[in-house]
Formats: sequence, structure tokens, C-alpha cells
Amino acid sequence: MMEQPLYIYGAAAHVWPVEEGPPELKAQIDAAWGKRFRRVNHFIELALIGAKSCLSSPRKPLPLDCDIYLATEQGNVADVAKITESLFKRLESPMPLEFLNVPNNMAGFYLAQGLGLHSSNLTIAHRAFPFETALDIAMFNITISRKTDPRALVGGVEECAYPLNLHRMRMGLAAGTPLAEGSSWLYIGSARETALARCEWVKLFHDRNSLLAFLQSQDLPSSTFLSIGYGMSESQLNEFASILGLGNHYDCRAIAPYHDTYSAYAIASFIADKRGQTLVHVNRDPQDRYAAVRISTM
Amino acid sequence: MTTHRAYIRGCGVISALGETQKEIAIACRSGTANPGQLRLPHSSDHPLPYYAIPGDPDGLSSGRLYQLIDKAVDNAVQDAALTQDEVVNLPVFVGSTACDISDLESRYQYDLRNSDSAFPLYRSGFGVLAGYIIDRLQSRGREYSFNTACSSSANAMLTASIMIEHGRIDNALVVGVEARNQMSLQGFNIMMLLSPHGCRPFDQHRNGTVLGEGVGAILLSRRKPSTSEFSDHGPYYCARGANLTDPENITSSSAEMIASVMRLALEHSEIEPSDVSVIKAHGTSTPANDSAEAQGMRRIFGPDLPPFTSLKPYIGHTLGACGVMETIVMLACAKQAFIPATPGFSTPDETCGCRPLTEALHFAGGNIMLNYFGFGGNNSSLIISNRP
Repeated sequence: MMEQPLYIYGAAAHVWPVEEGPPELKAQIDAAWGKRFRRVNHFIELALIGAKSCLSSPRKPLPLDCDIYLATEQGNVADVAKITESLFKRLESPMPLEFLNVPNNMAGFYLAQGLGLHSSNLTIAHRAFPFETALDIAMFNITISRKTDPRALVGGVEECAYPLNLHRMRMGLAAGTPLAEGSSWLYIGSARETALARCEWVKLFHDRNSLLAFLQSQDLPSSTFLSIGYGMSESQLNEFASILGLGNHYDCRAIAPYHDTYSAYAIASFIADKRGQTLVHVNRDPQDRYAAVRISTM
Repeated sequence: MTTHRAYIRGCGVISALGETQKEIAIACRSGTANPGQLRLPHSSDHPLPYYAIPGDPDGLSSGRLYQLIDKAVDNAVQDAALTQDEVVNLPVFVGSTACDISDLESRYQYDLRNSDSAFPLYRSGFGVLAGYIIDRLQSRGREYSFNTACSSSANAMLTASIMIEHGRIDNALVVGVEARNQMSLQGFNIMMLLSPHGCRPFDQHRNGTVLGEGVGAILLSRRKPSTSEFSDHGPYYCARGANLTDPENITSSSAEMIASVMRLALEHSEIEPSDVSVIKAHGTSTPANDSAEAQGMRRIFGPDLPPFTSLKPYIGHTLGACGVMETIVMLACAKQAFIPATPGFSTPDETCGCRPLTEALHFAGGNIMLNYFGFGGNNSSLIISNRP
């Protein structure tokens, strides 16, 4: 089956470069939502702040059956680490509320509650392409939906566990690698009206050659911006740009340090920054597989 | 437009009841449930019932989680008689709540004993199990990991089956994983959700659930499997389903929301309530969950419910794995032409107003509704069927 392009009505890119500890978000959340979420942990706060921002000036009202796809690879890693340490080092059981917030889908629950949604709510992980995978599933489900105007909120949310030197070891990153927490979201659907941008496709490839063959078949405008994820090197970016004849690079890595859903940040940021432009965002995993997303802004 | 069916072509399972569908069916036909006992470390509480996979008393041996996964996956691939070409392109869908926490806990305990620089979670990432399976199979297929609490592997199965129906993929390996770990045990215990006595779904005297561990793998395929093993049954397929979140109730969904997800599953499957032959309830044996589920079923089916049962008294609540695990158990019994009774039920509860099966029911095939409800209000309902 051919999947249809989908349209993007809202985009929010949030990143917090971190060093000593997590960003304080409570005041921001209270202000954005106009209410207080009690008993939520930091990961849930991140999801709340990003998703609300994505809907802050909606070009389309949010229907109550808007589905939620939350991508995260690390999930509630800070609480999981804390509880594990309590259980085995201090020989203490978790507190009930602490345990209750551990399942990663709690962030989706509080989002649904805050927005009053009665809809499907999936939390999706992937070791290399969490956001691309969630966006792909959302796009597929919208394409086959029986609803007349299906919509979805798709976000990438990552927190860190502190101290960061241990967190880098967990994630297999080099010592000193700059890290960020992030919460970046897209509000998407199938109707063109009022859209900010269009997502043409999300593709995964077994290897470099199949990716390049596909991209070369896409008739990309020469003004297309090429963006890369943290799985790719600068030399690969230059090589791809040269092969594809693309001179424009879109690079947020200086302001958005490493987090597993950086792709969400780059895409949402591009939509907010550029008008009438095309972005191809490419990411790579350690097995040399690739994910690519094409976005065209209106 | 739906053009294919997602047939259940093969299964592999490691559970408290055994490692083959035949063993599971024999145990379920007897209608008896025998959880073991497990004492929580550093706790003065009495031992708790627990459905452990036999062969590893403390569940802490190195690499255990991955050995369990390997066995279940290999059995499913073998059961489905996948060709090498099919394996090479096989997408993997994993649903789990605790993911690899059992392995991480074992490693941390070891490190605490042997190192001054031990720290929790030597590795992190919730996509690790799907990645492990993909790498081990040397598949070039996509990997998907679902973390939606107790509906995790049900949502994995639902997504995979829809992708097959719509021709996006030909086959899918759906794996539910939940291995024994202290975080889940201590967490459920501290929330007072565990029964000290045993699982008694829908019974007036139920007082909590009993956890279990297991790995289940289902091979879904657009290719219709051989019907020989089904005797007079046609092969079963996933006939769609639904996922809906109850945004008001974090630990126990309302009857209304449970009814909503069942109604949507019926609508997506294009069948009426009267077409449902039997229901596999979520049936956790906690007072609030069973009451809401029973009331939800009555809203859809009226006072005379179809025959229904809960499988948790056989294998325990396998949390994120229960979507796949309980589908395999149900299928193992259906293939042997029966639906198992619900052990532990004896006294009807007014708040439920219903009675699960108290004796095994002869089953000639039909539409089976499978319900799975999780923390965070994440509810899923699936229909499997062998109707032409």
C-alpha cells in the first residue's frame, strides 16, 4: 500500500542542554497549562511542556480523538535508576507514587488527561530511531484510519539520569559528550487546510546504498536542506550532500546536544524556522542502517 | 482497504505452565492453578504466590532473560516453518513493561558485591530487546518496541496485525517479555495490589493479583498456515482490535472506558456483540479492576455475557507480556477444542454481577475477544477468529 503524505499543523522544538541536574520546569508548566499537575515526575513534565507548546497557537482545534504517539528510548531512566539503587544499595522499596510513574506511558496518560483526549495512546521505543519509528506508525495509522479527519500528536521526549558521567556510560557515549533533555512535538493529520508543513515520507533503509538510491530517485529541489542525526558524521553529511547535489545544511546540533530523539528537535525546529523549503533529515544506527524523513514547509 | 489476514502461523512460549502449547493445554484443561512461593528480599512479609518459570529458583542467573527470549523466538520461528528469506526480512514487535530490568538488576547486584564503583543500569534503552532479537535473527526487518504497561504486547500485536492486513509487511514476530524482577514485585507489593492467597478473578473474596513471568512469541503472517494441527478448526487470525486510553483513571479504568475499547474493537472487526463466542477477560483479581471490567462487559453484551474466563490463575499476571502470553494460552486451548475454566472463582460478587467459566467449555471455534488493560488507563481489546 502507498502511504499518503500527512500534514503538520503545529510544531514545537524544546531542548535543555544539561550538566549538573535537570531543568526546573514546574513554573513553566503551571504557566503553560494554567493548572498544576500533581504527582508527576520529571519525564512527564518534559512531555507536558513540549506537547502544550506544540498546541499553543493551533491552526486546527484539537479533536478529542486525537491519538498520541510518544517516542522515547531512555524513558523514565532517572526514576528507574533511582529505584534500582534504592532496592539494592539501600535495601528500600520504592514509594507507591514513585513506582506508579515508572511505566513510560504515564507521560501519555497525563497528556491525555490534560488535553481531555479519549484516544489511542502509544509509547514507542527504538534503539536508534525512536522518533522516526513513532512518526512512521502515526503516519501509517492516519493513512488507514476510518476517521474523516484523523489527527495525532507525535513527540520525542528524553530525560537524563544524573550524574551525567554515568549516564553517558549507560548510553555508550564518550566521556564529556554534551547531553540534552528534549521534548519536541508535531501535531499532524491528513487534511491539507491550514497546514504549516507536509511530511512526504518516513523511510528506513537496510544500508547506505539503498538510502542513496531512494534519495536520488526523489527529484529533490537543489535548495533542499540536508540535516543529519547524531548517528552520522560530518564527512558523511558532506558526502551525501555532494552525491545528492544539495548545498544547504540544516544543523541544530550546536544548540541541541545529544539526546535520542534529536530528530524530533531538528524536524520541529525546521518547520518553525523555514517557509517554503524542503528538509531531508537522515539518521544512521551503528549497524549502518538509515532512517530518512522528508518535510516540506508551506 | 483491508486486503490480507494476519494469520497466527506459529507460537513459542516459556511460562510457568511449560514450554509447549501442548503442556499449557494439558495444565489448563485440569483447571487447577499452582503458583509457587516467593519471598521478597529484605521483607518481613510472608512469602507471596508467584508464577515462576521452572528451573531457576532465584531467577538471577546470568543471561537468563536472553536465554528465555532465544528459546521462545526460536520455537516460534520453527513452529511457523519460516523460510530463511522470510527470517531475513522479518520485522520484530516487542511489548514489555520491565524490558531488560531483570538483567540490569542482576548485574547491579553482582557489581555491588564485587566493585566499589557499582552504579545502577549499566546500560539503558527500551528498544534493546527488539534490537537484540533483530540482530540475533540477522534480520533486515524493522524493529518496534511498545511500552504501554500491561497492554504493551497487545499493542505490539495489534500494530503488527494491522500492518499485515494492509499489505505493508508479510510477516511479523510479536514478542511479549516479562522476566522476574524486584522493581515490579516490590512496586506491586508496596501498592498493595498483590494477593497473599492467590488469584481469584471476579470472585467476591478476591484480594489482589499474582504476578508471573514469561516470554511469548507469535508469528503473524499473511500466509495461511496449514490447518492440519487445528483438526476441524480453521487457522486463527487477528481480526483487528482497538486501543484507547482512559484519561481519568491511572490504575483502574472505568467501566465506561472499558466498554468503549471493546465497542471500538468490535466495530473495527466488523462484528456484532452477538458474534463474540468467548471472552478472555483481563481479570487481574484486584477488586477494582474486575468490578470495572465486569460492568464494562455488561454494557456491551447485556446481562447475559458470552462465556468468559481469566487466564491469570494459570500463568500469573505477566504484565507487559500478557498480551502475547495469554493469546498463546487461549490459542493452545482453543486448538484442543476447549476454553479453560477460571480457577479460584467460587462466590459471585454483586459488584461484578457475572460468573466466569467454572468448568472447561467445549469450543468449536469462533470469535474470541481478548482484553488487556494497563496502568495509565491504556486499554486494548483484540479479536482473534477462525471464522472463514
